[in-house]
Amino acid sequence: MIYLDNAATTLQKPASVYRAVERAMLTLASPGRGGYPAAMAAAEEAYRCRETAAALFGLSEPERVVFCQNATHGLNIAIKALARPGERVVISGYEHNAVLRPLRALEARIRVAAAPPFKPAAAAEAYHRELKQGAALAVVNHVSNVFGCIQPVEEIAALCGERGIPLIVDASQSAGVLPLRPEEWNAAFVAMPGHKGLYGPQGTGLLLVGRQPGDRRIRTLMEGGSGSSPREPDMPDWLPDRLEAGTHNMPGIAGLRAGLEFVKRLGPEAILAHEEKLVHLAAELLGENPRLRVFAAAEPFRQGGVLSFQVKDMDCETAAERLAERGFSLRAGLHCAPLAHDTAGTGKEGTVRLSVSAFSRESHVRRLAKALENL
Amino acid sequence: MNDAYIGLRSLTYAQRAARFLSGLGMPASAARAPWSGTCAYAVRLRRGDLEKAVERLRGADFLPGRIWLREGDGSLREAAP
Repeated sequence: MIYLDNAATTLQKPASVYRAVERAMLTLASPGRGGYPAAMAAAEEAYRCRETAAALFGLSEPERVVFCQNATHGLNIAIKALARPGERVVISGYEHNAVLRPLRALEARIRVAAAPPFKPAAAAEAYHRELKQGAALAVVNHVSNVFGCIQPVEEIAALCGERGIPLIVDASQSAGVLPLRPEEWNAAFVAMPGHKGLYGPQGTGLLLVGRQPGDRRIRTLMEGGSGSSPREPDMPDWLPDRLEAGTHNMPGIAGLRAGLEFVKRLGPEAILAHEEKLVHLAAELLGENPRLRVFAAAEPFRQGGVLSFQVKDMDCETAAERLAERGFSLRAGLHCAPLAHDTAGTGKEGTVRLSVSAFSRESHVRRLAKALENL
Repeated sequence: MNDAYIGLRSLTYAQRAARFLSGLGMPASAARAPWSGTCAYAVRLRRGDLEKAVERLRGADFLPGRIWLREGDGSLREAAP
């Protein structure tokens, strides 16, 4: 099997991740639930995971690294902490349903800063146009999970900063690959899954909390035991306790730390170079096939490890099914991001998406291109 | 024995404070606070380092809370903060 659905989940993990999960299940209890060795060992593991993530993402305080179930969970916390019903919220044209649906549930007034894929200047200009009319919040998907286009986060963050508008960054496809600098961006929140580019297990995610919202202003999504101040009727004001109600996913956290260490060891720059090379190769090889319509950046550095294509005379689900029969795992359809497809004009038919990881190989891409010649 | 415990607002803060103090040459670890009824966490360290540790923690905005001393016979007594 050739796995090319890493934008959904990196299926192949470093062996250290499997070992860490097993060790955690055998030896770790729950942080903040006692002072005996297995509880304190769990506390140490959780803290080390926070420290490793904080170092990787340039956060000065590990307690601003909050554990969550996945990026969707983190985005829900972030959005519902900051936006109120009826408020104007500016988002990119490439947001996932993990952003759109919470905003709709809040009945926020959603304004889309739409721009064609791989046109960062146009994207920044679209945000400028929308933000100057005022907004309670801005959200940007760092890298589209459909097209891989990299959004100009620095420029958008600067525009938000000028106007005092809090910014949430969805780093689902960029964490572990592109540089994330939440403090430099002055982002209110940066949400990411643990199970994609950080190579942790499914059921893990991180929410990086900036200084902008102020800890006391963060509304909670969930309340319960935090292992601290049990006599207080409300959730503690401080992080991470305020946002971490209930028992921690210790096997997941231990696996995530092993994944973070793997990313640190390889270096996000090296992973990015590897993924860029593979996506560029895929764009080149697939682009030679006249049956395919390929969505690729003219300049490879504007695209993450994701590439979409369409087979001109075949619907995308059939194409993915036929590829699966030949041993290739790719995802077809709308990828839970209908807005991205609408923005790029592929909303009717969707696309087939290939997405790579540190474990993908040049031979995988070449074999896919060959298979597509005879689909 | 003869340890001191400095209460902190959460386990995570106790962990960061322990690393902070250890980095300053005062060996410390995060521990369950040994006093009842609060489910609190603390930094445990040598009694000889207590005064300096409290000063350094205050200087770094760690907001140290209650302080308890473990005596040679194993008993605990609260000390003035």
